[in-house]
Amino acid sequence: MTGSHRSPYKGLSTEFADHRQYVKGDDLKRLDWRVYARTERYYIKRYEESTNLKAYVLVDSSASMAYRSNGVTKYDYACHLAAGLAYVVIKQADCAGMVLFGEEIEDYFPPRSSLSHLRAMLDALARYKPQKKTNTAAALHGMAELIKRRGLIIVISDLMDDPEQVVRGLAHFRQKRHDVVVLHVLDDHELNFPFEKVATFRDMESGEKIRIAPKDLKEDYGKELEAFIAHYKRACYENNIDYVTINTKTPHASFLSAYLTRREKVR
Amino acid sequence: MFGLTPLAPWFLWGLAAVSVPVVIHMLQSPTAKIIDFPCIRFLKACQKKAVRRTRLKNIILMLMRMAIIALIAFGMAKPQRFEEQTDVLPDAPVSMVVVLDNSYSMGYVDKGRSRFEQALEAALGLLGTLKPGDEVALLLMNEQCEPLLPDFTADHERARAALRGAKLSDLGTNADPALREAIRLAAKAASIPDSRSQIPDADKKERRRLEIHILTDLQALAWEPVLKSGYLKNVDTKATIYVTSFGRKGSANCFVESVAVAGAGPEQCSVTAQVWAVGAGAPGGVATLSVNDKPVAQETFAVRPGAPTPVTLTTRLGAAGSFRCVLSLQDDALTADDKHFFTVKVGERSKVLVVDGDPSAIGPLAETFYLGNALNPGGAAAGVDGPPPVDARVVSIAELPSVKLDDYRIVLLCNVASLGSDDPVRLDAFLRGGGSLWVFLGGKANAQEYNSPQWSFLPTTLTQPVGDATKKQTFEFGETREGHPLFKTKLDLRAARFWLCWGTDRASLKPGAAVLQSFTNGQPALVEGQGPGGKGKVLLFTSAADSDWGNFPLRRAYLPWVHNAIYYLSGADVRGSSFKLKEEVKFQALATHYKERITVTPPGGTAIGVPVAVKEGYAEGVFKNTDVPGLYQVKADPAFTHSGGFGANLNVQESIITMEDPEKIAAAAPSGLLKFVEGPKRDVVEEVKKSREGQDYWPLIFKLALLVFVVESLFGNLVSRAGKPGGLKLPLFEVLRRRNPGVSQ
Repeated sequence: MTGSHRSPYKGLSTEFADHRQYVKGDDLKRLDWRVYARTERYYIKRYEESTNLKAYVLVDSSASMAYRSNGVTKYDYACHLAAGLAYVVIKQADCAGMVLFGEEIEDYFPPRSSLSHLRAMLDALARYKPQKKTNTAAALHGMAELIKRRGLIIVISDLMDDPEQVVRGLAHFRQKRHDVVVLHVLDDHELNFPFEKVATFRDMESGEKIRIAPKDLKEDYGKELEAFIAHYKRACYENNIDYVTINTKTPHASFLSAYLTRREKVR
Repeated sequence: MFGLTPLAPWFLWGLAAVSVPVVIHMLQSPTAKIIDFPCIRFLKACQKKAVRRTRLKNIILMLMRMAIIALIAFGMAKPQRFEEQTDVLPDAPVSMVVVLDNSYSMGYVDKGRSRFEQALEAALGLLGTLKPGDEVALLLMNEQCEPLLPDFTADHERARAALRGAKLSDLGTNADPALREAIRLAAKAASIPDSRSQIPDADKKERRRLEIHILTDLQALAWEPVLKSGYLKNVDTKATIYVTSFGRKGSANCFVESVAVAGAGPEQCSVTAQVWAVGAGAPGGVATLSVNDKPVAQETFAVRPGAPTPVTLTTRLGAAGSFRCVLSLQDDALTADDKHFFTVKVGERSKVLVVDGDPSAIGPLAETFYLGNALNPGGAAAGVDGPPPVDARVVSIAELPSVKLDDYRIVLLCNVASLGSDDPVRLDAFLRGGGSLWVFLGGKANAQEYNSPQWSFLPTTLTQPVGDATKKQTFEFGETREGHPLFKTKLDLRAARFWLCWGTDRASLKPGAAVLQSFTNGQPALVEGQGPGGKGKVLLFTSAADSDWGNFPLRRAYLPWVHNAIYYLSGADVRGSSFKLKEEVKFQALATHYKERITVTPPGGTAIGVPVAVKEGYAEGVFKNTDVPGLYQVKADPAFTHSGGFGANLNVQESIITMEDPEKIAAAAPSGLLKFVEGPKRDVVEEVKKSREGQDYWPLIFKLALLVFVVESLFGNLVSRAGKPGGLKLPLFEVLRRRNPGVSQ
């Protein structure tokens, strides 16, 4: 079975690519004896590798992802997106892997193209409850070192960490020539901050509390959040990373449909 | 509180409700719910300034809510402000002194009504504010203080009647005596117990409200004595003095200040009036002279504002006699000072015989050279249109027996050594016939001769010449008899020097004789006496008529001095008689002329007898009742001064209408003592009502509460608007929407 993606790697395959000079250690089986007969030189035959796409879906499972203003937490939403994307990849006979990360890498599924593998990943997503603190940058760096072959890296997170560190982690992937997509998942209340009455806001990760009058802060909050998002957007653009902000209010199917259509057009 | 007195103080308990917003504010804090939020980093970033802003907004809102409650509670307590006499109980009875300015300047007409009428109306209005039990005293203010109701009365009808009977006077104003009297009355009222009140004696509040109301045109001259005396500065009174001004700055007025009667002789008389125009008025007008009620001359004039302008009218008065004259201007806003009353007394033309006792063929050496020239001067003094006022003839002593003395009114004997045998008898008859004799002495005079019975008409006896014939030591004119008609015209006699004169025996001064003028060496210079039987006048000048004994004939004052004496001796002068109101009029003559009672008839009045006193040969009567402006008729011997009548006129100082600055008066008094009510919308009655009944502040407080409520609502809405849906749009989402078509929020 071959995937729909052309592999950037050259190796054993049915479709000839080119020749290269023999070097010590090469498998003698790959020697092109015909060329030797004509030229008395040792050449190795190279073929187009018809390997599958290896897509890695990185899902943020920190405590902040447990927030929800309607029925869906950000984590649930991220899971839906991850499942959808993994399904699409596997259905294309490519390989899909998954990483759950919080303060560190919580769980890792290497890329495979079987549906049973997909089911195992979904079980893991459903099983896991977001509870730990975030250290997105550390997780990204760890994954960048872990994944040896170039592939597609899809990060689904609320990115509630130090933006500079997170951007460095994403850039690390780019250095490894990965294709990176960032799906920035935010709740509707995070975006619109509709609170009015004076209340104590407790940080879901650190447990820190702050008592405020939301309506007085709304304007300033909006500016701060806008600057936060704008920072990611600019940094991703500079690193050639596809960045999308998603409101959890948006149906994930609609989003996936629209997003994949846009990706297809970009290709 | 703030000078406000609450009429319903129990509502002030409502002020406790201001604590409600504070309690609500404090109770709000602990009930804040806890919301789990993914990341509070953004909230922390903007919390500091927002918290400060929120706290400030909350405090402002809380304060405004507290203010609303406090204002409502305070407004319901019905606070009132009593502007003065806060230590007086609100229901205390009133003791009011009304001082009504009735000086003639109050007759100024503004918009069809005189200021006096306006003041009178205000005074009646003030009486209308009194309640039963309140008292009032009424004073009229002019140059004096005239009590209309000299003591307090609770009979308000009586007070009204008295006020209605008040008339404008013809006098000026002096606020000082009226103010003192009003304050004295107020002090007296303060000690009167109040039968109406049930207040215990221990109560420190005053039991009477004391008010002094001065209704005036605020003339500067009237208040000048008050300011100069400093009386107000140290005055101790519990009364409030309301000064209501009916005056107006820049009021125009035209008036006659004075009139001078000039010209001489029976044929012609010139009247020069000093006319003033002040304020913004007409630049000129028409002056009319009426004689014996008939207009005889008219003159159009232009005046210089702020300075007197002489306006001269000339008329022929005709025969000798007394003429009643009125000089009038066109009527203006203040008519009282537009007329000036005076009389002109014209004597007959004097025929004078000058007898030279030391004649000379060389004119200047003759004894009568200077005297003759003085009596018949050439040029302007001679009379422009008619004959000279004095018809003088000079003869030598030798010619005297041939001269018919009856043809003359006055005979002058100059340095006559002796009289002819018939001359004493003739002169005696001349004097008995009403003639007058004036004797000049000199080197030829002989004491033995002059003291002989032939010269019995002389008022005193001679002793010997006194002085220094070498002219090294000289003397001058000294004292004159005050008030004598001869010295009515002031002459500068200081340049006259004498070195010789005849001494007289003072003890020998005959009955009825008097020394009118003295020399500085103590000798009499001019002695007046009576003729035989008290008829005729005799004057004795103890020096010479020429320049042998002095330089007086060479001096400028010689001519008017001689003329004055001649007019006096003959009564043949033109004199105007004009006095100011309240000024004393003196009737003087030699005692011999006092044979009948002197009576004066004021204008529109009945004859008043004038008591006459005889002293040192002179009869003198004083008339003091010059109360009304106009022409006064006098019945007296023609020899008396002002025997032809006189005019009495306003003291026109106040006609230069100048208002005193209220701030200047207020500064001269303790703070708050004087309340000025002025301006075109002045209403002292309203002012008084306000001060007595207090001013209601609760409507204003409720309006303020409403205003604070509106502001609080607007502020509250403004503060909460940011939290409303759609109230704040984040541009971020507009960008997201564009970047992610199909993705909706």
